[in-house]
Amino acid sequence: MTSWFTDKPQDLRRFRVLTGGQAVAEALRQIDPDVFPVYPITPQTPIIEAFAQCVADGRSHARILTAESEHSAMSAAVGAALAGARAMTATASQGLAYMIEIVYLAASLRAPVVIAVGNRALSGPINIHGDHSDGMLARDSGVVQVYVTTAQEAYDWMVMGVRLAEHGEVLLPVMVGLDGFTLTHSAEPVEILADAAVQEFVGPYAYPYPLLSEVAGTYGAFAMPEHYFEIKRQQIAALERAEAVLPAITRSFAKLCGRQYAPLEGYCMEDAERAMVIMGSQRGTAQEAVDKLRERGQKVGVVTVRLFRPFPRRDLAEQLRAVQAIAVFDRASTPGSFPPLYLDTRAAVRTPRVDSVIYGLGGRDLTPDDIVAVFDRLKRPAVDADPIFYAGSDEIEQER
Amino acid sequence: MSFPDTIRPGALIRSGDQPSPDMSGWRVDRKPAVQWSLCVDCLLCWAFCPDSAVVVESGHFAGFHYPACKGCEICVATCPTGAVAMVPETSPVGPRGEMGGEAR
Amino acid sequence: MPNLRTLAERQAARPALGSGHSLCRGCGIPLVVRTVLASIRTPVAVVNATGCLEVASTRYPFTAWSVPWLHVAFENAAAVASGVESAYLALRRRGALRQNFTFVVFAGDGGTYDIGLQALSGALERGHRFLYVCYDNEGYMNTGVQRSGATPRAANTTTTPSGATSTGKAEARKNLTEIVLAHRIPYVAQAAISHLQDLSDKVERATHSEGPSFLNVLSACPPGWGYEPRDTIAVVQHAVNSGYWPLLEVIEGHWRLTVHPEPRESVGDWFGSQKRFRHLFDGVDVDLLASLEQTAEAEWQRLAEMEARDRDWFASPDGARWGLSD
Repeated sequence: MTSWFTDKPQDLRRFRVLTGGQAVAEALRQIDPDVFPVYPITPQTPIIEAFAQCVADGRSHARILTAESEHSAMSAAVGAALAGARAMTATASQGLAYMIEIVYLAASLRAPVVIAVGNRALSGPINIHGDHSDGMLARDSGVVQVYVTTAQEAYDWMVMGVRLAEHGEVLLPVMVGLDGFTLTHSAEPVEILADAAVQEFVGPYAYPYPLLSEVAGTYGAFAMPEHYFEIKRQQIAALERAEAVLPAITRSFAKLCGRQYAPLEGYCMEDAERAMVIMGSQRGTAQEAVDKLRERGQKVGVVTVRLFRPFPRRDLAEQLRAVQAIAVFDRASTPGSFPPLYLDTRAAVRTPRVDSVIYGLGGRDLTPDDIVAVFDRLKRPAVDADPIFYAGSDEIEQER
Repeated sequence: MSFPDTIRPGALIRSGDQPSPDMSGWRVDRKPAVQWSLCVDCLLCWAFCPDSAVVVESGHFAGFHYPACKGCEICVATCPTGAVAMVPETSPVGPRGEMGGEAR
Repeated sequence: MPNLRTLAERQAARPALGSGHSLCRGCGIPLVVRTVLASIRTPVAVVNATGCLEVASTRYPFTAWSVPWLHVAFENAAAVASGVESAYLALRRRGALRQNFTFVVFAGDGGTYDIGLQALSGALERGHRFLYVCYDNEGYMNTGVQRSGATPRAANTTTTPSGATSTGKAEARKNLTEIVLAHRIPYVAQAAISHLQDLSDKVERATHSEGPSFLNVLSACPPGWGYEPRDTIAVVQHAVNSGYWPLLEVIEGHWRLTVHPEPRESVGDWFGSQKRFRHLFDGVDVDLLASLEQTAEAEWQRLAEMEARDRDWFASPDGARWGLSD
């Protein structure tokens, strides 16, 4: 099998310099959903402004439903998706917090709504900058969660997200998270596929049980203890199937453009003795730090998790199998305990030494030096008294 | 997997999946019955029955469907002619609550 | 307009809401639902807010519904209906759906006056075409009779109990009908379960109007209000015949009372028909009862003046389109 490099030479004319927000809007235009219920919030606004202009210019047929709140936006999206139309939306931070009740219901009602989230810190104090605490609110809601690392990935996962959400074995919302400002507002070259290619890739929306049909159905019934548990398990099983059906979707996408995605990605992991795990836009910073340490002969590597729910625990365990010490970088906190990505990693591996690092809350920068300090820390004995290291906030312990 | 495959995605229920539960246990010793000779077929008992326990056939009152009746007595209270009355559960009325005489 | 017999014939085969639900004995809600849905001739899809109706009619795996029905949450029925209606328009536009649906929302007063008001307001402002029906039983009955914005002054509820220092709810009810009217939607009406022909007629007008329409229907709750289940219709008749709950409609901003009780009963009779107002009659607070009666009388006079003001419009060519001129 020939590789895509030779198979499909990149056509530079397809590249445009776009922010992550614009790239998502471009994906929306090409997917052309039936209904787009939405409410504005920073840093999601570039997505909805650009898409609204596309509709105003007649370049998309979507009905933009300008809801009076995120709660109603998500409610309308669920109504539209179950009625039989493709519905998508976008939000961030407090907006996701406000719609969270309906995010849970979207999952339990199996409404395949793709949601772009410009990940931003939760209030308070109020802050508009990037972190993952909003996404973590939806962690247990039963939706598929993807955290992308570039504007290109944001575009690609919006397109793939539609296929994943609407897959007959899944039928669940898919949340595509892109870090606020770092991705939503930063421009980079993004390869845009042909409109027809995207349309063909996503196909027509065909919800198998539309509300608006001649066969009457009751959606959202009341379930007593003798049924609730099994209904919940059926929903959990659907989320777990998302991991199983994803490779076929990513392979099919790779045939279009050559970009082959996996639930997670290792960098310099072949012989790594120490490794870090991270999600989101700081992958580049992590790789830069790893490069620096590799130059000094240190066997370090980084695993970037893209698919956070369902959590690819077997793939992660495989990546980290031979590693002696791990630092998990969370851009969210779980006050009073360990943060989410740490707990998931800890449960997936048998490595004795797994440290927790919290970074970047409220948009705080993560520098390569912060990461180098964490790798240094992994060489020393574990510190039980101070189990979580706040990178970029705690003093960096000097050891060279 | 120990749970049934019969749960549809989203726990969707199709109308008619399950028969209507029998609500007659909600009644307390009495059930409605009709004296046909007094009935003027105004359908008020049908219109005001919260439980769809009043049977209408071809647009005319045709008695009671006891499994649906909870015994609220609204039919008795709204009957303008006194044709509907509560009778003991053990009363020998017809299957649709007919008290003497043939159904219309 | 369909009469009772027509409505009965339409439902004989398969009522939209059938038996087997677990609503209380004597509950007024099914009368609202059945009359509304039997008065609509197109296929319907129902969006239901959380509440008595939803819980009691869809206990998994049984459903009492034979029409498409969707419940998502408590406060968002109007928003869900917005999405369903938008989906419908999108599907019709691309030729993916041939049926001509009418969309109906059912929500209680808690889900409408209080927690659902924002979603309702947003949907009305956006102009989605659906009929929103509030079945108003003047309180949170599903959770055990707590006060809502629709609970009248002086009513005893579990969160506004009467006692040594309390005469029940201290505040007057919210006038939701006029809040809805402020959105300038084409059709707004008040109806009651004691007057089903009136309700049916209003549904016909509501569903033929362009844009959103709203019906505030007084239901009744035997355990919440404190009366015998058999008296459901009589109690609501008191509300209408005393002028406590005027049956009215506002068409394109023009007011009209659809029932003129002659003579009007005493509002005190309405209060006296329910245990939740019993403390008004124990002789302790005669002034309160008198003041409630005065408030109801003043409200009736206000409505009568508005009706008189708009009588000419109903006789004009614009009004005549609705077929209501005397």
